[in-house]
Amino acid sequence: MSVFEQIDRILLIAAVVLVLIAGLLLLGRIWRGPSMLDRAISLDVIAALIIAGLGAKSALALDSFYFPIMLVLAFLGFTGSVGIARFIAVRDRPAVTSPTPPQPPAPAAGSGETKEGPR
Amino acid sequence: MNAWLQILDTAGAVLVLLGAAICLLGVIGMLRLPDVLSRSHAATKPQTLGMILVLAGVALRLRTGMDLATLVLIGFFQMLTGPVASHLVARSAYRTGQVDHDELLFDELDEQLTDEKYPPPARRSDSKG
Repeated sequence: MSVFEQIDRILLIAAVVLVLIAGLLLLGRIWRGPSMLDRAISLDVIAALIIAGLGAKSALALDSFYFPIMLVLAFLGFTGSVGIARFIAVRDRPAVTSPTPPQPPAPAAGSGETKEGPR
Repeated sequence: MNAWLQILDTAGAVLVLLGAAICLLGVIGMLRLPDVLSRSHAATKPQTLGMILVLAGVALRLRTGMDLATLVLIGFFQMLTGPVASHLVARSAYRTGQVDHDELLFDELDEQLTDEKYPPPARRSDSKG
């Protein structure tokens, strides 16, 4: 009986250590992410890792004290990356590695001579 | 009876450890993959599979009705809000030119978004008045 509880404790502490290592590595990705979109994806994964770490801690301590925090993170964790992708990444264009240049914007109202505009 | 509860506890601990290992694997993929879209592919593994495994392990260890309902709600909202953020990030990556067009086998958005012969119809009708 006590042997199995010891095995559970070792497995759960190993799980918490794995989640912590993953979070530290992900901080490196946020530090040197080439564009803001990489940082937005990393923010999503950080929220998922916080939920996983709190879950592992709850399984270790056998209490449900942090469940509302996990619920709020699952509910609102995506708003930061949606805001970045919607408002910041359009202005922030890094050095693009693709050979094709960025596409020109849509033509204005005055340059519609060669094209058939909708009447 | 007590032996079955002990088996449930150990199975829950094993599931939590599996979920944590999948989280670490997804983060390693995010560190090593070269592109925004491929990093987004690697980022979905901790968000869905790793977190579902961790929540299942916690649910096997805490066997109360209220805790089970809260864990199901956490998983539901995470799977509901994950595709929204991922879709917006991929769309913004495509529109700001961070997608390598030569690496793609099929590019079904190309004619609709980036061809000059087909500008977005809503903007043209707005500018024409």
